Amino acid sequence: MPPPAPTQVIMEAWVKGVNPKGNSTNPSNWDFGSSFFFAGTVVTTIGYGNLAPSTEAGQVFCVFYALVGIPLNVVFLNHLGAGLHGHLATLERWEEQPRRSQLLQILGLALFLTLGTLVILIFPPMVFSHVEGWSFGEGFYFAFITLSTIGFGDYVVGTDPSKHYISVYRSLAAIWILLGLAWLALILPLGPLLLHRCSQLWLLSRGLSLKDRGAPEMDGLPRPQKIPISA
Amino acid sequence: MRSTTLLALLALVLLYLVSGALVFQALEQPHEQQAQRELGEVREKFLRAHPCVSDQDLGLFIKDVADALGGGADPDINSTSNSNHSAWDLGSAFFFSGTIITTIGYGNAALRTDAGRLFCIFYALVGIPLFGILLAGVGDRLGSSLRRGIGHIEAIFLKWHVPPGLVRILSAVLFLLIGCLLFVLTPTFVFCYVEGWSKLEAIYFVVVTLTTVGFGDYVAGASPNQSNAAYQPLVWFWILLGLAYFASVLTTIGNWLRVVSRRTRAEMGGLTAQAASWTGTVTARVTQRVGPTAPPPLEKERPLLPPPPCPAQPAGRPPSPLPVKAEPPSPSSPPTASALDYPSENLAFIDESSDTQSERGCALPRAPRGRRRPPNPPRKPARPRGPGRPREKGVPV
Repeated sequence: MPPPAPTQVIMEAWVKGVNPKGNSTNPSNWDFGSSFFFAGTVVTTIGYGNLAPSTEAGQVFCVFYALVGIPLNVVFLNHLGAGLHGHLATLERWEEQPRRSQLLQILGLALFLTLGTLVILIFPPMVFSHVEGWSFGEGFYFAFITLSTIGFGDYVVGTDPSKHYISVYRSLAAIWILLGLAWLALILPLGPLLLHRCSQLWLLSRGLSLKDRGAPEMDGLPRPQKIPISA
Repeated sequence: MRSTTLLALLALVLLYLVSGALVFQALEQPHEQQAQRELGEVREKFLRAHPCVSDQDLGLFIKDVADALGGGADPDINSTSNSNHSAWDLGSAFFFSGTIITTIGYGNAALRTDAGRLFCIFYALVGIPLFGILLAGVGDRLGSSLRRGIGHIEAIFLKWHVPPGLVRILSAVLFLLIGCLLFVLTPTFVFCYVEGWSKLEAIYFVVVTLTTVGFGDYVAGASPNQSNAAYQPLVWFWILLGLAYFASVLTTIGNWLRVVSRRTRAEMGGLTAQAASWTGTVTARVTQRVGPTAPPPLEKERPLLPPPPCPAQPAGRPPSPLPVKAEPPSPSSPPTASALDYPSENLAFIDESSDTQSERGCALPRAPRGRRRPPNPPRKPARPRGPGRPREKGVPV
């Protein structure tokens, strides 16, 4: 039997999750920290895929693990998002005042969004790009792909075998992912709300009599949101 | 109270992650080490068979190959065989766009250029909400038609004098079975046949895809010898329908988990008001159990009745005189004041996709809910708005 072509062997090893650059003294891909990170990518549905179970038992377990873990994580994120939502209470109280505070409200909302973006989307990519040696664009791309839960897996933090990371690095990344996802869960419902309000303002400015038709929809969307806020 | 719930949930999630990490490590690490050993052996053998190649040269070559693999090149193709296969022909690019907006993100083909990445960010920002709207619509239609069909079957069962509790379980099982058959088993066999995977691999691919985890270790239509141009678009449409189904299944499981957590919280809280209404419920349940002949006829009539006029009062409660004790708190508590107690749940209600909301609407006339309601009333008076119904939807599973 002729020896297999080296490219094929490398390809197979690559598919199986072995880094062909390393030699056999490499740290394992499946030590506890990496497994923990992998479990996190499963339940958040990011699924980078730089690690994936390749044994049958692992795949079977992964299926059931995802079926239970994803809803559990969604429940948790909802609670966390609700906690963050409390910070919006002041903004919504302004809304009670009729006219002049609309500008203030918009300003406050903009401030909140900018702060959140800075803390969640701008600062961590800077850290990642510094630690991993990426450009800022790559770091931001990584952050976006992660938090939108797309998770291509072409850039993953803490996977370079030639680097020595501090031990809490991956845990910090995991916490950032959780916070970022909760933040997104908070602001994504705001999007339709803002759109709706903008469209209403637009309709009002055009003087259309669609207001009474818009009213029941108004009940459907912003009402349940406003009730918890004013708590 | 809320922060303790949050902490408990966080602890639960972390515990879940740790246990998963331990299991994955136990399952995968030996296999990985074996693969690593095999690679080392092959390398040794290659060096021995070709003494002219130095160890360093081979290392450099391997590094180049690994980089090219990361860059999306196919190692089986050398530069002289002008294969015009590309990972970025139109069909594959369409599929790739699909993996962006569904947030599956297989990553078997990912972007290498800066311009592509920049475009991807804005593309996703617009595309993901757009797809969410589409998914809600599809899930709406799908869920309502499925439920209508199940309603017919349920009516047949009721005509055969099957006990309603059994009918409820049967219909839930039917919903799961039909969905599984349509969106999991059929594609599984198709993938087995077309891609040549084993059944387990195909099911793994289906679940990983439809939960939008998307590892990308198995991707349908990614093999270069795939000739049929309609295959990948078809896969994409299956993903669209299957996502709607899986979203409803995952919401069901989530609601079920929420019911469990709330039940434990209600039991551990020990608030007097809750305790009072709890005893009321227990009495009501006992009285209902004593007279089991009363509910069934009501439940049989239920599908014929129009939906109850008051939207705040969850439907399906038979206007039976028996559970009077549990009844009074619900109409008397104003919705605003009670909603204050559970802001997070209201938020969760918002976050739930609109397909569940409409499913809830469809579930109104059908369900013989009366028997399921008594276990929960301690929470019911506090939650007159939406969340009451998805919780019940979760119960039968």
